[in-house]
Amino acid sequence: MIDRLDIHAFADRELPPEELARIEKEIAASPEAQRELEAIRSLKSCLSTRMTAPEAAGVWRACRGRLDELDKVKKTEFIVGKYAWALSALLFCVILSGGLYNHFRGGSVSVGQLASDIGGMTPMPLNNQPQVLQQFAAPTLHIDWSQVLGAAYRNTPEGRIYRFRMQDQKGAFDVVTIPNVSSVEGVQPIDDNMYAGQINGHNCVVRFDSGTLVLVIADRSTSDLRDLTESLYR
Amino acid sequence: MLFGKRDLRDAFERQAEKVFPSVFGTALRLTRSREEAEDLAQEAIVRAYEAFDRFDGSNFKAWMLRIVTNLYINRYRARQRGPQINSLDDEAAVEPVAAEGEIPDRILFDNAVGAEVEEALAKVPVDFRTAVILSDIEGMSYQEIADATGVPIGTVRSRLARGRAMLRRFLQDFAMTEGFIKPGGDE
Repeated sequence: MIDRLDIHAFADRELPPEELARIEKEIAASPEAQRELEAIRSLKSCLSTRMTAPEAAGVWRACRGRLDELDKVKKTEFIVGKYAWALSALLFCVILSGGLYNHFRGGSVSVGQLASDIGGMTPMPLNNQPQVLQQFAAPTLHIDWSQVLGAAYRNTPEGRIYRFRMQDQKGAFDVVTIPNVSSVEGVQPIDDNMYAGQINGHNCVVRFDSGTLVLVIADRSTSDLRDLTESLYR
Repeated sequence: MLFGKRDLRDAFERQAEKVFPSVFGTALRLTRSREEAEDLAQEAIVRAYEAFDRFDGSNFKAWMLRIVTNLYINRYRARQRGPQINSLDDEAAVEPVAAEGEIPDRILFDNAVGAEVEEALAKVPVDFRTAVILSDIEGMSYQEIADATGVPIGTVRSRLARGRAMLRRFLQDFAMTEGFIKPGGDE
């Protein structure tokens, strides 16, 4: 009996040449095999002629869209991949330039930095006023020692910061001197040489005095603080 | 490099557009769902495009159908956790296509239109249906089908024989239901 799979292979022209003649002969000799072969061929013919290709134009357009997207991504990856070193170098230069600018511009501090600088200072005895005055960084500032309630200092790489707790008829206020500061970020100008802002929730006025920042802090209006600051220079 | 990419895209599109009806038709007959077939065909096109520079240039249609079939087997059939009918791969289980051959094939096939053949084909279990689709509709060789489905040629042969026998039986059931033939094989 002929193997049915060989009849299928014969119908599919998948038999090796050396077996073809033998199988053909066996089929010719068997009515059952001939019927099977005829059935296979009819089925194959039915499938190849009756099965129409489905409408695929819309799906093909969608495929092309996917390929377009893929190309865009690949192009971007290609450019980024090829010029990654340049982009990295550019970013490095920007960071370096920013750092150098800040370094050489010098003396610029933020209000937050000021708040940090004037905290945690070391108390200073008031019995050696001449020495304090000698080291004082704001020579034109007039400190009335009778108004000074206390003093403290803190050493920084830029120099010594002084803080004087003082009092006038309107109440207590603080005067802080910070050497080697030429500008402050986060304050608004109120006249040619003075700026107003807030430190730790208190109003303050900033004035520059020969490279030293003078900071007057109190719970008073900006205009009062400006008047107070001006009075310190009379 | 970018110009090379453009040429590659054009070459791929020229070939893919020609065989796309077969790709989509196969996807549709495998998944039996237009939505899934669209997804499968698009994914196959993308995969093929990404691998086009590795295509050996021999038979683009067979290569595309191999990708579609592989994707279907790996992605879609993984969802089906039901029992597999491995015993039907056994060559001993091959039944004759013309077992009930008293029914003349011209009656059986002449009355069947495409939609009914599609319906009958959809009833054939997927392993056997895949072999029949790739061989009898798309004209792939046993070796190409074996490569596409990842099974030995012997398994392809038995699946094809079983698939054809089942398909003929379903068509015969249809012919009986429609009254083209009567039980017992009389016209």
